[in-house]
Amino acid sequence: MKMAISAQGTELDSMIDPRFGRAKYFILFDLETNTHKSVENIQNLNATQGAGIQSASLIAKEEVEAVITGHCGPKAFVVLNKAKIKVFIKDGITVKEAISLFKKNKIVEIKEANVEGHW
Amino acid sequence: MKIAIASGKGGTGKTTVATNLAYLLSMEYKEIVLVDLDVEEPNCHLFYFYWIQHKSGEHAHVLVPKINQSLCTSCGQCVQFCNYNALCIIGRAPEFSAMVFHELCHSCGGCTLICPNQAISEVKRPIGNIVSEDIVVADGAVVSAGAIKLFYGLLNVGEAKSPPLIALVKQHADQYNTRSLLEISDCPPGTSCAAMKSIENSDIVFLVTEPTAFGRNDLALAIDMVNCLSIPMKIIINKSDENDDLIEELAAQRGVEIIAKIPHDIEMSKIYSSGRILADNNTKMDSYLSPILSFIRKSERGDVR
Amino acid sequence: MKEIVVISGKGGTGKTSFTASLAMIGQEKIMVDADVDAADLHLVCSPEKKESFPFIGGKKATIDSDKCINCGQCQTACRFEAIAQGESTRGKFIINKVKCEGCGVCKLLCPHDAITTQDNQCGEWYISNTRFGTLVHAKLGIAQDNSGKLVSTIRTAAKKIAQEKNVDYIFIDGPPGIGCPVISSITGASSVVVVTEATLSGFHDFKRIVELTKYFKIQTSVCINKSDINDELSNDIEIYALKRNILVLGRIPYSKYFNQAQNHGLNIIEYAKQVNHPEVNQLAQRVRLMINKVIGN
Repeated sequence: MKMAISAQGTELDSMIDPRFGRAKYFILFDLETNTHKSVENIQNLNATQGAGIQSASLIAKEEVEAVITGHCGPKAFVVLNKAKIKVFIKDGITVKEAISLFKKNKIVEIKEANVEGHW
Repeated sequence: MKIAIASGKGGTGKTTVATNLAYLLSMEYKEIVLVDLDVEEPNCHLFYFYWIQHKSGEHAHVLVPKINQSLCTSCGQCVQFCNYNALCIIGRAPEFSAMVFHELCHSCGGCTLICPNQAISEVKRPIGNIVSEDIVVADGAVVSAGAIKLFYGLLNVGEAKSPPLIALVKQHADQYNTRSLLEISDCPPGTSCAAMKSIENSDIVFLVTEPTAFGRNDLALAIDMVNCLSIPMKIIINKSDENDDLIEELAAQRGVEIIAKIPHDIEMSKIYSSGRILADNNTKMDSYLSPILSFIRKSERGDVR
Repeated sequence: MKEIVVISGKGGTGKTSFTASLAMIGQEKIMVDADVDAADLHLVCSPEKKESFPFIGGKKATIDSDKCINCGQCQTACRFEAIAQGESTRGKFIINKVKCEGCGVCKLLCPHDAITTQDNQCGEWYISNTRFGTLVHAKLGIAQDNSGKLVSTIRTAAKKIAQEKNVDYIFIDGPPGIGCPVISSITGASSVVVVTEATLSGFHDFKRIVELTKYFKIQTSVCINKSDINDELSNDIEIYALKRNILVLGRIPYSKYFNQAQNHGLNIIEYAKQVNHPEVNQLAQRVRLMINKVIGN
């Protein structure tokens, strides 16, 4: 299974980026092979509107099954939900720590957006 | 002639000026049109409550794309094209077709043009209501009476974008006003796209301000806005008092004439507060507004332009 | 950290004067002026600009008149009536930058690649020092779109500073209306203070703004300004608020001293200290009680 984590850098030691739509990077982690790659999210970071939607569609195309981020707004959530991607909320730790918590089932899954949309 | 009443700052008295002018002009010209373009918070209708003869309303719509799932190949060209990020694609057809986020759409129609499979059509999405009211005002002694055709928009609560509704209300007024009746528009405050859209195509803009630091600051911005559209303008000082020099100085600097002053008067505020027309309630409102009335008369006769 | 937004629906009810008074609380705070197209809070904060940032919002199209062959396809397709034949370009089509919404349809249709779209700088925002602490404010260019995005930009910046400095409160002076910039100002905020006035218009607009805060499920309180202009309406507003679980902060009578304070670049509490006049002192005392209610003391 593959997952995506919003991150402030490109490495596993990078901190989680609390923003989903305007995350600097997404780190794509493969739980079977324990390998990762990063995707830059610069286009959405600077978008006038709809950053959450496009970030969600970006990671949906990578065929991930779960995402870990700090905040997920309503529009991004709709897209992730439609793409059958589960959303987990964690902030203030590194990507590596988040993955290890995830493996131990210690991160909470949300069933609706946890922040209001930006306009 | 189309007259726009605008201001940078809110609460300076746009609606007071617009509703009282409409009252006075309707008696003089028998029939006029009043358009309330503050679709977020329209208030003009409150002042004619007792005089409404007929009221009708209809839904206002904008066009938004609709994806025909059986035709969508999820090629992504619409997503690529849309500068508002209102569309997205999350997987391959036929399981996934493009998704639309209506609230981000500007109704440009680009996605329907670019779709190679004619999978996108446009459907109507309601954003608010357009109300029209037939109002017949009469002075106390019923010596004279006048008809006001009022149009106003009411943006749905939670709806973000007001300019499309403003444009639709203006369109309604235009369709009605084919006889070049005098037309007064009450515009929203501010200097952003909504205010700009409201004053577009006016023959003259009256900027209502008040002699305070905030009033002056926002008037300066409003003057810049009107200049952007190269429409002639004049200033009305409302709640005029000993601080008028704040405005007079700015007006002189920018070369804009102060056409009228309405003194600050707590009695007038009280009448206004209960939703009544000042010119109908034994105030001197008609004389305060008389320079504007004579300006309009002259313009209507073609003496000045 | 609490984010408290002052809005009104109707303009000119006293939002900015109220926000400026909120700055007088003892705790650390950051001030934000979210009325980006008619910003006034700076006039009573005398800010010293520390940093300024360009604000890019959306795109605008440009037509290269050397390449334009006057076919008019762009004009026909433009839904914003932003394209017309220009006099200065001898009949070649030009874009009206005010009306253009940067959709790119004209660029798509132009058979001669004469049209390009560019990022549009439509404003600036600033971080400033004031006697109350940091002020984050902005200036939207005349007639520009995207005021909502600019509001969320400065709110985000204020939040970041608040977190870094461990500040307790962010006070936001909101715009009038119920549209885009207002929604942007209140979404996700801790609570909203509505400053209304005892007029029929004020009440009408108050009801619309209450619908909005309900829609976004934000805790709401109300301050009734110029209450003595119409005591009966003030009662109606209070009853309306109480029935809807809206905290009534209190009433403020009409007074010219608010404008006088403003013209001196001060809030009413500062002005009271300066002039020490019984009526002003009384007003300042009322406002002080209200701001204490707002922050829950």
